[in-house]
Amino acid sequence: MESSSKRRKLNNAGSGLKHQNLIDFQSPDATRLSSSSIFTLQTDELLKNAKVDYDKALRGVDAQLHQLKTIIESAEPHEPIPITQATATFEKTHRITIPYPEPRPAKDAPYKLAFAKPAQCNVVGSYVFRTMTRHQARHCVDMVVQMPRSLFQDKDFQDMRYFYRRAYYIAVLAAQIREESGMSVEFEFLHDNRLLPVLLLHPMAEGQDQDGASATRKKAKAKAKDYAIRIVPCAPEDLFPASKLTPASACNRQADSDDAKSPTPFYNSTIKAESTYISYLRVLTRAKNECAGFVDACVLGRIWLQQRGFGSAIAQGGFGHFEWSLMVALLMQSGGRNGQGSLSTSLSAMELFKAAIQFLSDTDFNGAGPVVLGKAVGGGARDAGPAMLDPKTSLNILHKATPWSTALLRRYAKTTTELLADDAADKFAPIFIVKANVLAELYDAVFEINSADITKSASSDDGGGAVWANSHDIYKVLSKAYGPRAELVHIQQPAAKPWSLASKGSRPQPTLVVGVVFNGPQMAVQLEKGPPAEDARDAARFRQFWGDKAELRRFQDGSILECVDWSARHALGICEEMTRYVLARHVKLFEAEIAFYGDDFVGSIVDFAHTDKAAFDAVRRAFLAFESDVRNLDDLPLSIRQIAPVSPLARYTSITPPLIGAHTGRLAPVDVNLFFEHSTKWPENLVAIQEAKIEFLLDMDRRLTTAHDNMTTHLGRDNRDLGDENLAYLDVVYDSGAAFRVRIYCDLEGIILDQQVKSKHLDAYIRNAADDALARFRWQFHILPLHTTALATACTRLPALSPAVRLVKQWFARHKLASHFPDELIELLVLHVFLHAYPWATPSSGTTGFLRTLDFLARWDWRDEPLIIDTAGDMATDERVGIAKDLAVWRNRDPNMNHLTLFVATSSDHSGEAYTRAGPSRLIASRMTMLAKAASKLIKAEDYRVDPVDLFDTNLRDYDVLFHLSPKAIREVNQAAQRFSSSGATSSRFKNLDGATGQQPLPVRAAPVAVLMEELQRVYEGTLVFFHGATAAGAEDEDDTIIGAIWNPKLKRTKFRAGLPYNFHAVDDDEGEVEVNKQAVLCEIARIGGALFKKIEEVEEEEDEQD
Amino acid sequence: MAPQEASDGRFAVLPVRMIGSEAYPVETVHEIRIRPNKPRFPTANDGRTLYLKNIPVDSTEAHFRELFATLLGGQRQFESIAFENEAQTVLAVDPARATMIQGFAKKRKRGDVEAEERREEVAAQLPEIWTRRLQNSGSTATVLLVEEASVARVLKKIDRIHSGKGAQPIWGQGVDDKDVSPLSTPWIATHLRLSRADKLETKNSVHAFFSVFNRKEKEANELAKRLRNEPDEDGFVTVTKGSRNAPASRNEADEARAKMLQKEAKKREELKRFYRFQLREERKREQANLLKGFAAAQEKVAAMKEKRGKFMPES
Repeated sequence: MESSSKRRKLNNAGSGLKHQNLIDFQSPDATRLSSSSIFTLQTDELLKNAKVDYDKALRGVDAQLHQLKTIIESAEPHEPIPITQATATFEKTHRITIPYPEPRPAKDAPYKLAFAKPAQCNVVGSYVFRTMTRHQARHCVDMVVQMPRSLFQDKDFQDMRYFYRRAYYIAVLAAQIREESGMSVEFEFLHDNRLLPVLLLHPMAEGQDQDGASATRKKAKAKAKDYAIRIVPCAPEDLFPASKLTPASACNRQADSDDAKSPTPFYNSTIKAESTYISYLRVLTRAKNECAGFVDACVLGRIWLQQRGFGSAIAQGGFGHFEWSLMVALLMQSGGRNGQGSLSTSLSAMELFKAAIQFLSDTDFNGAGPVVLGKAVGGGARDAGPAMLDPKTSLNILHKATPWSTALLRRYAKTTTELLADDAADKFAPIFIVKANVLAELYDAVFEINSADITKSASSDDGGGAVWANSHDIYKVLSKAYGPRAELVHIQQPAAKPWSLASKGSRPQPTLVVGVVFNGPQMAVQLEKGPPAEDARDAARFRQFWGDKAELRRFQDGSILECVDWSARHALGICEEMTRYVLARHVKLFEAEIAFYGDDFVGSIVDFAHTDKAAFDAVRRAFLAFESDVRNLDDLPLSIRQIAPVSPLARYTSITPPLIGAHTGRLAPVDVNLFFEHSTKWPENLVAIQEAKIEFLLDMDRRLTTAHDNMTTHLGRDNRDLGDENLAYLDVVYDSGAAFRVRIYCDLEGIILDQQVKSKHLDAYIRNAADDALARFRWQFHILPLHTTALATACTRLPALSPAVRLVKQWFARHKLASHFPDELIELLVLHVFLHAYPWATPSSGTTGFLRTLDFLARWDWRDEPLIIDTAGDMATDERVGIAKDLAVWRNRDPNMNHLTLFVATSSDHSGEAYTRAGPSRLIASRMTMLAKAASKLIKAEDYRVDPVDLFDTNLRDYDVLFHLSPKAIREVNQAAQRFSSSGATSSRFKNLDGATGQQPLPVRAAPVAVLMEELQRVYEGTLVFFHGATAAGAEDEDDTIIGAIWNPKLKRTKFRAGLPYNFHAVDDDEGEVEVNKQAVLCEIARIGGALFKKIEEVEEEEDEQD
Repeated sequence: MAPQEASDGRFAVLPVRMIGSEAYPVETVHEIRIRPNKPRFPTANDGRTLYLKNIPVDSTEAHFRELFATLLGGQRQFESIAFENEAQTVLAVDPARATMIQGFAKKRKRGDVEAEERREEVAAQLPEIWTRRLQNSGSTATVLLVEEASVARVLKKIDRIHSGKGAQPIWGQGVDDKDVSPLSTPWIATHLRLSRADKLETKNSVHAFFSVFNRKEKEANELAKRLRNEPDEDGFVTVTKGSRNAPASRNEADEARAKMLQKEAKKREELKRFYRFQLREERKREQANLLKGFAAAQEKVAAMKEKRGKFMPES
């Protein structure tokens, strides 16, 4: 009996029904749990940190609010007086300019103004709900003052009459408060809405009441800045019937004299919103009471929005904390089935946050029908802009938002949703910590429109003011002009500032900042194709829009299309040309009023040309031709398995594009690895293998040159002595100018080295040497081919990657770090930024890619964080965890990071050391981080106005020694190296006499400066650290004519030993002690370099001397 | 700076004046440390050898010939110099088994055969790609003088320099340009030219290499064969690699090994969740993992907390 029950259980276990109460670790859900638990913990910590200590930061607010309430209620009511008279008397007695909205009431306006005690005063907003955060720009306590119904008439919703009354009311309150409370009082527009002036009070803390010890007053002053109180007048509920204020009603006839019928949705929504304060206070309170996580969800929402630059104010996109919490509350209370909420009240804060983000990313507020939070009531017209309706009040919660701000919001929400679903990425920092609204990092093109015209008049004004209306016009024109070229066009409107009671309201700044996100390569399309000529209506419209630029063209396929041709060559240039043209044509904004930024990235930093891609493609084509030439060779001793290019030239990532056939006086051969099929014929000896490889190369050379006569070949030698490692390569130069450098792979080499590493009989130093050799072997023959394929694929898939990599490489080069960072490592860093672009979407231009890479470098804490780049997209969470653990082990073993500073793992190399084994050292890596931090700070401070030259400008004072190279001498070496032999063709100063002129240049092993650097680094390893901008591959020597160097900071004064590995001399005062003989070293270097150096300069820096 | 006694094996300091160049017009003193050579394994020439530490990186034989000429008053006292990182002339080729086996039996060869082989080995060297090699900074050299007395004279002369009676020698003074190939631009240019190797010359040296290599391999094989067959003086037969049968090909061996591993893995897999105690243990393990994961997460957050600014939204 017993045994049978056991049997049964076993069967159950076998059939997969096992232990349902436990989490199955094999399932993907379980692993997600572990990565999400850390996110939850981090969020908890953030919430703890973000909460405002109300007792401390907002001490005394309650008392002040009470006081204010009494003051407000004590204001003296008066009977209606005609508006002109009331205004004149009031302004005279109180010296307060009543903040009437534009246009101010006419002199002969027939209606009367009165004042009465408010129906109620109520504190609303984040103070009540305790959802303020410490990181807010300012802490504001909102108190609404409900104006009594008796003040209004039924038709007051028309013609700004409500707003005139409101303005008068607030002016009276201002006078009262100023007299009674002793707080400093200012006017301000509520959320930049020019219809709604409110009072902004800066309370003087208790310090002033006590008679004035200056110290306490100072303290009080500092304290007074901490928070402000806003007095917001509002209308009683249901003051005006909703039917009068539908989006289609035209209520503001006065403002719109020529066309009385045009609807005024913004005006209508503003009035509607005036009577909803109290009811929304109720909605939010209910949500707070019903759902424990609501408050925290609002705080999270606030931080998320704030990091993306969103706020309730129009300048901040019109979607802020209030809109967020209202949206969440309404989703909890309605919208689901059977009148239930679509969100459960039992959700936690994190879940609510995720749901809200999901909602924002799924919902198109600019779609055809309005988005209704709850059950839709009636049809009715829809607002022109984004719409999110609360059916109960029929208010469009997004009435302050614009089509572009909601589009941006949705884009952010989408990337956040993607991030939340991405197991691999670190979620916390991109969502809550990183500041995302750095315009230069966000947009591919940023320009300023600076024109007084946009603040003056507008073609149609629905109450939002001229800037609001003009921005909409500009947006319409631009988005039509860009069409599919741009993913997003965003216009940032200027923020309104508070103003003093006596002055007239502030005019808005006449500046709009427009940002454009390109749609990949579309923006660079030069020829805009329109409708066919037969389609008369569309063609006419097209002509109407583009004006003289439009022209008819006939295409190869026989179609005749309307077209616009742009003369600029690259994306940013075309964007600028288009923008200037359409804005001048349709909005009358001209040359000087539009300022573009960021051009220099394209022009002066890296020489981008529209032909770059073609140049790289040409290399790949040339390579394919070469490959077929080699593969078609008859009876090679071994059959060829693979021919793989391993050069940046073959993966779209060299700073200067390869120019095949152009006479630059220098060949840039593409490195190629040649893999033979496995063979047992190789000798089982490393040295012999190397010699056999040379034999192979010579054999191949013979066959190639016999089979083809369009090429010359040269056997080249690597700078190594005969030993375990590769000795030679074959340069194949086609007459077309394409050049390839072939190295041969022998699998036996890896096996023998591996055996040596693992062998227990060999001495430790031999094993270490073998280990190093093996790493280099793997790098050359395993990592590089895979890397090249991965990068080439990525560059075709992500068109912005190639220019971004080239910019970043240039940055490393200009800061003289290039000699320490392999090209491949830099490429990976940029690729990482593209694959994990959070909090943004994948960069769509080189500039944004570059700036975000700098941001990433500044942020990367390489001591504790491995960089994991999943190029193949198949890395499991376990593997990532394993890699992180490996790093922890490394750091434990080597806490000073003498060996592996940067830990970079890819899908093909989980060890994390393939790319960074040979450096950069800790010193160099710290310098990189330091420079990136400085750059990132500059970008944050200046944003899109940053001068790219500043980012690329390096400070030479940081080095101890500067070696100024002589470009002339370098050129001479280059020329001399080109010659066949010293006795060969004579060189001459005159090009026409020079035997080498007109011939194809010969391939050289490396650039002269690179050779010099190699030797100096070898000779002075441990004494000096050299910095130079040109990398071994591709870069021109002439680019960087200064080698920087610093003395190894580890070299201290020490006792003499026979084994000291540097040039030393005795120190005068103490006999036994020696230190580096700096002058003698520099003398030696001067002798080695000779004419190559123009000057060797010791940088004087006091602090460094003492180190 | 007091002169140092050299006789007891401590280093004497030889100051050498370095004349600055156009790029770096600073005149400075380089210190070479000198002592009589006392290698761990004494040789016949030790008495007339000096050990030099911290030689300049651009040292050549010509430089030291001149330097010692000024110290000893004449070129004839100087015989030769050996630098620390000088390339080994012996070709480091050993066919797979040669090293191991050579230890067992010393081979004797006739002198002329040996000389012929040495010539072959030299021919097997690849053409040189540097006209001049730099010494590592702070490296060493040994100078062989003609007679033992010179050693003492050198040290005495250094003493005199320290006491101000002799002038400090100047580096590179008197060195004939013909003896030393220049550094600087021609040095790099020539190197780059030489790196584009001459195909014929390289081919010849590769062929020479393989004739040496094949000969050595053959010798090694023969030696192994002999050792396998002949008992040594104690009557033992040495076990050597490579039996009478041809060795199995590496491929086959790898395949067999993979097969074996596969089999083992399968066996292990089959017995994985077989017993109840295994299931129970697995469950326990999972639970522990869960706890561990949570603890790790907490730890990470705590570590983040310690670093400031990690929980502060940037502004």
